[in-house]
Amino acid sequence: MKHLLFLVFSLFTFSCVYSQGMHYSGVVNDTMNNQPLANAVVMVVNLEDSVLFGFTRTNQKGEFELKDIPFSEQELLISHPNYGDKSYYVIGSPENNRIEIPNIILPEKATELDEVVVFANKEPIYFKGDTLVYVADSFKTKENAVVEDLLKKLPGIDVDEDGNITSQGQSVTKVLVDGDEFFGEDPTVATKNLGAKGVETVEVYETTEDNGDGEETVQVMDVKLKEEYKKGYFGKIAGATDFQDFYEGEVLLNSFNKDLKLSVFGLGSNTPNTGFGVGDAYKYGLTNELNANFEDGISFSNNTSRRGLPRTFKGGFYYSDKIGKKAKLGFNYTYNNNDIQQLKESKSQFIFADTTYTTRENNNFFENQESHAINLSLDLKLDSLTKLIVEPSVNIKRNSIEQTDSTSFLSALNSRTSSTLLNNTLDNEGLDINATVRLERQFMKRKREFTAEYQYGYTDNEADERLYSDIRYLNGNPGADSLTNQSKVTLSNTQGHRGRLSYNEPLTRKWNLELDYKLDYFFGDQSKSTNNFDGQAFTIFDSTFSNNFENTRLENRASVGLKYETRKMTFKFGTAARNVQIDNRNLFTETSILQDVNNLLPYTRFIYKFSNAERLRFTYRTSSQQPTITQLQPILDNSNPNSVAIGNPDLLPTYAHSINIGYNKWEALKRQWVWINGYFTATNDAFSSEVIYAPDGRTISRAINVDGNFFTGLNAGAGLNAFDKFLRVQPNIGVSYNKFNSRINTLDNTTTNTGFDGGLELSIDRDSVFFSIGANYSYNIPESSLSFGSNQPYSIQTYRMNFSIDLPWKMEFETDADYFINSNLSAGFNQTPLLINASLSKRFLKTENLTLSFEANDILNQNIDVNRTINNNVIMDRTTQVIARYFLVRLQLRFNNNKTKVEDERWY
Amino acid sequence: MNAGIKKFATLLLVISASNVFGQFTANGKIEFQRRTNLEKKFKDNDSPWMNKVNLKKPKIESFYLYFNDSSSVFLPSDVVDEDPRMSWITSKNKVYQNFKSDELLEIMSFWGSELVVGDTIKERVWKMTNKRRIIAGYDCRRAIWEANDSTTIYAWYAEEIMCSSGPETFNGLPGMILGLATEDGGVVYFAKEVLKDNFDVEKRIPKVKEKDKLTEAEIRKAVTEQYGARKDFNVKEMLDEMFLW
Repeated sequence: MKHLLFLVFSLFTFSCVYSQGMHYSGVVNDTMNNQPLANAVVMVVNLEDSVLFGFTRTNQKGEFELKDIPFSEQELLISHPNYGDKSYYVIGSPENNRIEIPNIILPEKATELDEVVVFANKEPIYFKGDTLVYVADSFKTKENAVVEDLLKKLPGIDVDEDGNITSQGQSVTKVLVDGDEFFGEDPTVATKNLGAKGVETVEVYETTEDNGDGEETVQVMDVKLKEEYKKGYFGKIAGATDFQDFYEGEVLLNSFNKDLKLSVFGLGSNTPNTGFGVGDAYKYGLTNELNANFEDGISFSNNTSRRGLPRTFKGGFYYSDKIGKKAKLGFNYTYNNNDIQQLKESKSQFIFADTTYTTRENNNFFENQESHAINLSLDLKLDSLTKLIVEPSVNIKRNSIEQTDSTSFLSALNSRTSSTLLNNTLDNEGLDINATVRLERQFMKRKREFTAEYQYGYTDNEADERLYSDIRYLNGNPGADSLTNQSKVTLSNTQGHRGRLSYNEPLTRKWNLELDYKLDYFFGDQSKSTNNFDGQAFTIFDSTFSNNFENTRLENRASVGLKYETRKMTFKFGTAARNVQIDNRNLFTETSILQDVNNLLPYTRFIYKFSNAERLRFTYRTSSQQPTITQLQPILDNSNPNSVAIGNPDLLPTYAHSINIGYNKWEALKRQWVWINGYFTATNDAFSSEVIYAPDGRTISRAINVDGNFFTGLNAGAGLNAFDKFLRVQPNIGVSYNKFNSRINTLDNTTTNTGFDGGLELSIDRDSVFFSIGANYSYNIPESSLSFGSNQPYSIQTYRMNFSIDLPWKMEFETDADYFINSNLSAGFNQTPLLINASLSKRFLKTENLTLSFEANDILNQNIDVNRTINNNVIMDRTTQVIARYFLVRLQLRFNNNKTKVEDERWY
Repeated sequence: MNAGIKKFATLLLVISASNVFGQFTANGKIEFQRRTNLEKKFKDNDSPWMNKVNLKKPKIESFYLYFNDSSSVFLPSDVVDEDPRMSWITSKNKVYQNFKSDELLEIMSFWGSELVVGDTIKERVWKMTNKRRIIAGYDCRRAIWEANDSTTIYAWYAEEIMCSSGPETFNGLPGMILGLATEDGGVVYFAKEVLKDNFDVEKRIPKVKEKDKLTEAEIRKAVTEQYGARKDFNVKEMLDEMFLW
């Protein structure tokens, strides 16, 4: 059955004052459009309650006429036994009462997938099998809108301030353009750079990806472009300044010709609007580093917040093309250089059964990062069923850190007991090489699939560190003043090989057998040599803080599963069995830490589709996480002498059970949706820490395993219309409960947190005005079994407002406000900033491609960063210096090959 | 494509095109089978008589519907009931509907006597669905009639049969109703066979005396006046059930 519904709003309408109701007439023709169809049924169905308002049949000439149908939102449905149905969605009213459709061509009778097309309220949405398809042209966007602006208009899809996309409450992890990644894996490159006008359809579907521990369902968005937008170039040059301290500059050039894509970009700024927040790697497709699981111990640094004073420069290019019909080549290079300067002030309360004390800390932190990243990819279609993928990448990186930290320890009576001055510098240089070769083979038999993969990873890293710390005891408090002045050199070199075979065999039409085998080998060598200062040079070797480790890890993992799949439901279950052998050799002491772990990792997944737009899902999976080398090595890390860390050779891998239950339903015609998700994760042998507090307040922490950690919660949300679709109402609620065990001074400590939150967003979207207002309230009840002092409930309220209006003379005004109340912060940290931003812009030129705007950020000059963290028996309140009020004048020129109006690219 | 294949394709097209016009049915006879689930029908009845009859077994009866483009006659089959004690349990209405002249003639049995209904065609509010099933080889679409708060009736109709009629007094869908069922499945009509032929509908109209004709409203009024005061059963419910079909 093929259903095609679309809106006839003013398309075929002629006004007729005298009619008593809806009047339909038209001619129905067959698919080939060469002869009229007689006897086809033409009926009108009221959309609200599906009531049949009237029907007729076409005459021998294919003509029909239906009169005196009541006014309503209704469906005109034409059906014929030999063809697919065709429907028109009509908003009937006395002004829109005569519908004449001169040539109705019925579609072929669909034999495979159901297709329901709904063009309702200018919002055409339909399902193609399991894929939700939005027809872009039917959603009104502003003149210069980019894909992201379009997405914000699509019902069921949300885009947050960072550009992260969720569909039906679930996050979209991948954005494709015409089925391919567009200039890298970062979704926002596509969504912020492609014009909404070039989009034909937006498709959203689910697929499963293996994340190493098991399969996970991810949502993929595929933006399909119109044919005429597949060739050409577009670009943007923009600059902004306040003529004093701040600047932003950006050059973006994209050239594409069907399959050839070339993009050159450069970007520099010293405002928070650099966009280099969440995962630099993702932003410019530097994903190979992040995917490398060989990289133990070195975590990719990302400055996620707007805290501090940033400076960023970035440049590079992306190239991809098809070579012949069978090969696809991709190459990209990115240079990145950024600084961050942060001034932090914090107050921490340490609460014990018998006493409390406080620390006050001032921290001055500066970091510079520089990297060159090169990625290459080659996709080869060996034949119609076989695909070979080769993906090598190289990343050269360097970063340096300089920080000064002064800490005062205060007793319960508020007298200073000791102070610490700390000076740290770090120079780090590294090289990463990764390569993946993957062979994907399909067979003539439907759903029989085979994949073989080999991955190689190499890292080489050298870090030079200087540590100067001066600890003094004051006011007669006991303790020996100590001075540390050390130089450390850390060398690490790792190599990894991974092989993987997976095979899918259809047993029957509905049952599938899934087999998977993985072999993982990792070898790492890490040495740290520490020298103390002798007054002239760093010559005195310090064995306490030096070490040399060799690390070997071998993992064998086999999994078998069964999948049952019908149109209505998917049911999957199976288990993975694995053996992990770890040999951690200390070359200094000639001792070994050996681990031999066997795991069974069962999983099951059930999805029931009441309809394409209404689903219930249940997932159970188990996962196990290995300790990192640093967590295992019993070596002191004194880079912060106030909190020294040490590894634990007996640390076991974790074992976690996770259950997820979700339901979502969405009604296309009413543009309403509702979703609810519940989760529960319990972890055995979870990684935690054992903290020993020295009498002077300094700590030593050690990684340990604990049982009984879990977190659980329930979230629900909905999108509704009120006042005849004038107002959108989006409520959401959530409840969560977490339990976390740790050890403090050899005593077991259990921390729980109960959280409640609820929010409501109201929005009005009219032709030239958009207004939205939202509020969120969350209430948290932390409880710690050891220390009752930290068990203070607190609440966080956030309010936000957004307003934009199109003004005459090609002008536009936008403003947004954020208000934030965090209760129960300590004195001096209990601030409630109100942030208001506004901008006024005017478009010039015939194409309106030149924009001049005035922007005011944080008009009330209130921006501060306040942060409270409660960790076991420690409550820490911290403020970080951020850029507050600033004004910018921005000039921006956009251009394209069409010499027409170009879509805006916004940056965040 | 060579000329021969082209010709052949054209021929195929012509054949399939002629099929399109050939397949619509304007005249014919439909055999319906009605299954009545007596347990459901009498679930609230605790009369001792009920213990004597086999309620487990569904009662199966046949009906014929003769139709042309604008009228139809619905008649029970001549086959007698297996168990004569149970014949009265189910209705055996005879119905003539003329959609051109908006005329309904129905002969129903009321406590052993015949009632003649002469009225206009019954109108029902149909709700359309996308559900489909094949009945007697015809692709049918399901529509729903919410008769009252407690009764919902499903109807499957075939567009390929041009006459907008159906079993009993049912009509009003863009095609012939080939399946009719109460939501609980207590009473189900399904077409077993559709014969395409020119049957004389007029000839089969039940003969009645013009003076015996009463409208539904008149019957309701008369019956309520007669039996409305009775405590042992609900007259309105009985009438609603009678005129439901």
